[in-house]
Amino acid sequence: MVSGAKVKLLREDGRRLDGRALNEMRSCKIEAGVLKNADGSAYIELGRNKIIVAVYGPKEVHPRHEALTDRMLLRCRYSMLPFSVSDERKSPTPSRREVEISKVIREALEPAIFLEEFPRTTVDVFIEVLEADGSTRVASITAASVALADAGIPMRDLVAGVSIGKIESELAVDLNGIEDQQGEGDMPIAIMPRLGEITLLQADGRYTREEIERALQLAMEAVTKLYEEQRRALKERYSKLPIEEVESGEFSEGVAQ
Amino acid sequence: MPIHVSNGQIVIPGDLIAEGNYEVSGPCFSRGKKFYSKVLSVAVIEKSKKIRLIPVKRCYIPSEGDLVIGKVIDVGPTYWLVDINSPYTAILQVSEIFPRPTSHQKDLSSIFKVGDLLAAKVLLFDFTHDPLLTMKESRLGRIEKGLLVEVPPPRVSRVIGKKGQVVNYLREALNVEITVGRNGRIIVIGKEADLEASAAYVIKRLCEEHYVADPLEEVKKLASLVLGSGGV
Repeated sequence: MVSGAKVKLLREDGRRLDGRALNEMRSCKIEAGVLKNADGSAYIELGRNKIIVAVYGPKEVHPRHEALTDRMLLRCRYSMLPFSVSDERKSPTPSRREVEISKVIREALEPAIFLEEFPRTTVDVFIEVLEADGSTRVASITAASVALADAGIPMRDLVAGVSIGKIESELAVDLNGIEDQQGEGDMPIAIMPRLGEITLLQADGRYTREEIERALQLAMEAVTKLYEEQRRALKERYSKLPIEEVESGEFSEGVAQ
Repeated sequence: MPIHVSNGQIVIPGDLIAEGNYEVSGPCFSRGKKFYSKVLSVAVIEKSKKIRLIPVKRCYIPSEGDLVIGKVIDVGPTYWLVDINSPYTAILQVSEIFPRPTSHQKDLSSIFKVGDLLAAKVLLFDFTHDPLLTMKESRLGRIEKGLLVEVPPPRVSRVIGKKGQVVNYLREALNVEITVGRNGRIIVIGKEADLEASAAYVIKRLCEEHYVADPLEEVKKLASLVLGSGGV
């Protein structure tokens, strides 16, 4: 938490600083299959967050002693690019925070994947935050599950994440950067929307029992919207596959070599 | 009890396919009598009670008896390591080449060297060990010539067709020799480079789409196109 003068996070009209209502999410756009060289990939824009995720695998594990004999090894790397934050340039070396978030994301994705399907193999998930503005870990989870599905990894369900926070003693959905820093609490939640199972629940700040229950309810609503966007991204990616008309003149270029 | 998908629809992991007494083949899982898809795939309703899921992307998982086309990536003292376009690297043991153990230590790279393409069959695979390959069958061995075509492994069955109809048609129509590896690698050998290129083109085009209702019709159409324009 940043100390110093307290910023007012709610306007006179009860809306938040960026004009959203308390239960309103930022606009979200997901695109699947943005990288050609990766087995699966996704790009997410959640408000001002911009995150790109690449998935490689399943493939052989290197170093080999890390391989698990009964299941697939899932490896995640969350990293923020030096220009992803507005204040000082972020050092590119993985910070304690990034290492921890990588682990948290991995554990949020694991329940959704049929890990036992491909024993002794690995799937690598690389998450690069191009621009960060609060709730990057949950946005990363949302995008990573789209990228995993795009790579053809067997899954029970997609995973979508949202952060619920507390600003001026009110619960708010999808915190942005300033609300995250100045607010009273932040609770990232990841859910498998169809199954309704929670795969990640972290929290800082103080909450009453009722607030937690309300937060989970808000998260469930938000996740349903994210899930629609995830589905749309995946379906769009595969329905727009190029099916050009064959013309006799055209094909001489394609295969001649 | 309903089917929740339409023919040719894209389904994403976790989508409900059908509820009730259905026969769902392909990557799916069930909870009670509800069937869900596991991977991104295309749903094909074959009969009123039979649904098939064709994965859009899937790595090749070896299965015993599969013909595969591999590339030698390492030569060991008694074996070759062969890349078979799969997360599991295959092993070809020297005993598969020589009938009995040879006393004189021969340098194995004089037989197959790194980079050689091999047609082999999967002898043994059970996930606990890397797959073993065999060559003790006719028409298996090193591939000396031809054109290598790579297609997504889930679409190989389309190139083969029912009882090999599609591949047989291609062999006859284009006058080429075709070896189809289950791992998505296909070797085309023709008398002329032109014929090889035409066959490669037809195979590539055939595998472009997620789902083709009648591969034989489709291949006939593509082949007539190639033949009509007088080759490449």
